[in-house]
Formats: sequence, structure tokens, C-alpha cells
Amino acid sequence: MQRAQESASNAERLAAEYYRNRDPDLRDQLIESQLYIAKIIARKFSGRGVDYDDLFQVASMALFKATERYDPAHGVKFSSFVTPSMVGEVKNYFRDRSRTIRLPRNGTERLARLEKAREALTASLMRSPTAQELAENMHVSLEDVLEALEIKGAMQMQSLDASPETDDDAAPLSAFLGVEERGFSNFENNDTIRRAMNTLPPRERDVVRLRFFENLSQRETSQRLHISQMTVSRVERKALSALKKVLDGMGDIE
Amino acid sequence: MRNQYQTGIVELTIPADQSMLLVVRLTTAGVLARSAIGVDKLDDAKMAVEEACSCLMDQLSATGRIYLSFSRGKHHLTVSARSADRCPEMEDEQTADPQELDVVKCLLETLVDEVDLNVCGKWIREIRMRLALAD
Repeated sequence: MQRAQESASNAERLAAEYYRNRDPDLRDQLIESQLYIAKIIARKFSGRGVDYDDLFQVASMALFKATERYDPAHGVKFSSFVTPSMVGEVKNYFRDRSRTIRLPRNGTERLARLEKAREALTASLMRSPTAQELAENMHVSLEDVLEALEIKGAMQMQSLDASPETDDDAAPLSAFLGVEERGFSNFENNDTIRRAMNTLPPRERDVVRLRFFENLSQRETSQRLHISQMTVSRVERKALSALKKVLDGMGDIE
Repeated sequence: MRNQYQTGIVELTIPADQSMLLVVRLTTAGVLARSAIGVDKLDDAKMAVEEACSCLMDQLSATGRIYLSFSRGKHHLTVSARSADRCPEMEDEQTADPQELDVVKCLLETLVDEVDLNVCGKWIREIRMRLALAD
């Protein structure tokens, strides 16, 4: 404890003296005395796809810059001044350079990438891929994949329960797909939905996706697909009727 | 994991194993999922909770356990990470290492709004952090 206190007060003395005379040798001694902080910070942020050496370099540069800016007249201890600067710079560097590419923040885009990878891997592996396999395929972290899967589940549950919009006559999607609990549990099964959707012609599939999974209004859907709103309404009814038949058929087989 | 929606408290007990840090991060993300904080602040919160647990794991044996609790109020989230093991008996000549603890505290303070370290000599008993949530 006593040694730490002596070291700290020595740093304060050096910092005050360097501020007065800007002697490069003093500066080097001062920086050398605080490099242990750079090592600690670099160690804390490393191991997450960013090299320790890079982080140590960033922390050291931040220490150098903070040393130049330090003014004892502000009444802040030297180590208390430089430490937040080093942490801040390393944190920013870490955020920018993290080797694991993050999935897009936008939920829809994120899920679209995930689904594409999932379909490709399912086809090549002839089975459902694990979360780890998805992460490796997409070059993202396992955590990103797990979070995206949670978002997917939440979005699909929302589509089930909510009416697409308040000014439509359309009932919730769930009303078209059976009232038995087995029907609901099948509906929540992503593979079942995907298979059922794949039986629809492209236009019907697009309308269902936009209306019930991206939660667009009929008007917005008509604009997106460049068709009339009346056409959207007609195609939607036809698609939902077809889905019900397909899902009822799947239920019988199972 | 015990979840008390009525009181807004989520509690988690994990082994002192670095592989559990993924669970810690996902739990933090789940607790904050329905708050209005931005994704950068969410990332910071996850990193802070992970770092707090990692600090406690460094001082525990493989059989040690860590208690983590998330207490969600209207405007704040309070996170507490503490060791389930007792503070070991300290010899008179053993002294605290305030420098490393200072760096840890400073690091956490760049990630969340308030940090409080409860230490017993060199042993970290508990790390409490507070995060302001968007209105």
C-alpha cells in the first residue's frame, strides 16, 4: 500500500514538473510510470476479436496525448485524468475494429440474412443447422445469432396476435389459420410456416410476408408491389385460404 | 433462474467459469430488450456486466459461484454482481491493490452511469452498477 502511494505521489510530482518545463525525459518517465494502466485496459478489452498489441498501442497513444493535455491547476490527479482518456480511446477503437462483423441492427434485414443462411445450410447439411454453424457461416458471433433468433420469434408472435392495421377489415392472421391449439403450435413452428409459404405462388407469398411479417398496411403493400389495394385484398384472402388448407393438411399428416 | 416480474427483479446464479459470460451477456440483453435505450448503450451495459462478472471470476476457484441480479425500476436498472464465496481471512501484511481496482472502476464508469465497488482488502465482494433508462 505504501509503495503504491509513493508511486502515485511521484507521478503527481512528475506531472506537475512536466507541465512547468515540458522536459521530454520527464514526459517519458511519467508515461512509463503509467503504462501499467494501458496494459490493464488492453487486457480487459482483448480476446473479443481485437489483438492485445493493437489495444495496448491505442492505450499508450491515448496516454501520451492525455499527458500533453494535463493541467494540474484543474485539481484532478494525473492518473485520474489519463485513465478515462485511455479507456475511452480503447473502447472507441474496439467498437470500430471488432473482428466479428455484427449483424445489421435493422431487425428485418438481420432476419433476412439469417434466414438466407439457414436455408442454405439446411440444404447443404440436410438437417437444421446449429446456432454455432449459422454463426460460422455468417462470420458473426454466436451471441448475434442467438439474439437474432429471439427477435425472429418475437416478430412472428406479434404477427400472429395483431391485426395488420386498424383501418382494415382484416382479422388477425391467426383467425384464418384455425382455432385449435395444435394449429397455433404448428403456426409457431418456423419450419412449418416456411414450408407452407413455399407452396404459395410468388405474389401471394409476397403479400403474406409484407402484410403479416413486416406488418405493412394494405396500402403500403400495394405501393411496394406496384399493384392496387383491391388486388392486395383479393390476393391476401386467397393466400390465407390456401395456407389454411396446407397447414390443416400438414396437421393431419403429423 | 428466478424471475420476479412483479418486483422487476431478475436473478441469476452462475458457476465461476468464463464460458458463462455468454449467458451473462444474453441475460443482460434480454432484461434491457424492452427498454428504450440505444444499441450502443445496450452494448456498453453488456460489456460492463460481463467485465464485472469476469473480475469476480478471476478471484474465485472453479467451484465458485456468482450471484447476479438485475433490478429494473422505471428510470434505472441496477445490476449487482457478487461472489457467493466468503471474503477470505486477510493477513495483516496483505494490502489492497487500489491501482487495479481504480482502473476497473474507471473502465466500468465509461460503460454505465454509476459504479460502486464493495471490497474487503484485495477481495471484491460486490460490484453494483446503475444505468439510466430512456423515458
